[in-house]
Amino acid sequence: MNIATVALQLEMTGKYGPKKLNFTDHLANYTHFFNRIVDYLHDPELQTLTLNSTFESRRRHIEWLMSFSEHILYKVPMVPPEFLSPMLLIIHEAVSNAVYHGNLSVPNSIRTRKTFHEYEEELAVAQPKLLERQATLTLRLFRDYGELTITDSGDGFNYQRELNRDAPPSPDREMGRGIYILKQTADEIDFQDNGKTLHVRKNWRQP
Amino acid sequence: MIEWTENIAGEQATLSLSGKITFENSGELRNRVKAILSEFPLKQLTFDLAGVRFVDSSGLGLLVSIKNTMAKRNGSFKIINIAETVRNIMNQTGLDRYFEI
Repeated sequence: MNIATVALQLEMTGKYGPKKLNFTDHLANYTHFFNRIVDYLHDPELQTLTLNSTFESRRRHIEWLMSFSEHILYKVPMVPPEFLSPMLLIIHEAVSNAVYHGNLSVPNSIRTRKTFHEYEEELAVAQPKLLERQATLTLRLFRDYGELTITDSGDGFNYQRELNRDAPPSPDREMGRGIYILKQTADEIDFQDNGKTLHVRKNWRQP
Repeated sequence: MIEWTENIAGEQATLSLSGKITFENSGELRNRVKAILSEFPLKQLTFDLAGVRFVDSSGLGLLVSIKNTMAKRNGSFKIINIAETVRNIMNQTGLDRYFEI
């Protein structure tokens, strides 16, 4: 079985003081997992949600994670409606950056010619170890803000050059908008460990 | 998940899409557009995005590549019925002017 786990921690206020509920499962079971916890997401006592997932560089894993994150985002009471799309964008860009650039180092020439599925099938034959490269994502949703941290297993990259960019890439370019979009969408963005760890924060109420 | 219907007549085609255009599926959509362009002598291609609420950077890249491809064959590429969430990301990246939306 491939590595693809999901864990959720819900911090609730309660009559008898704060409590933390913890759930964990294989990411493949995310629909069942979601149904199991959905009632807690409606609970007005829910204060903080932490989603943690470790997954491999496979399209299936990414689709599970994206779908699960979206289900969570649209159900929790903390994220105001106008911030749903920006948060979803942050998650998408962060995960695709970690997997495509970080773990798989997919050359742009491949990205414009092959589907993710086709490339994955090639790698499964030629370099199966590459697909096993993991990324770990932590998404935390608070009453006033959300934050995401993702760490990949790649070699890092020159993130400063991307962060210094103060105008969008030329409109006729097909690639290279990911980090710019993250920077524009988030309130805080920083990289650590030579770019292998990305942290972003989005405020929905002024701190 | 992305799904679309195709309406091809003469030199014009409209693809009406719904779902999300993202890095997980933009390659499949790219392949389909390539196939349509090699099969039909299109001069005008339109993407009706009425059912699309979300596009990420890969989705934007795909739209740019289609526009570039259509320009190379002296054709045009139009995007219509764009949702506000998609318009926002176009504005952020300066593509609103490129696509004349």
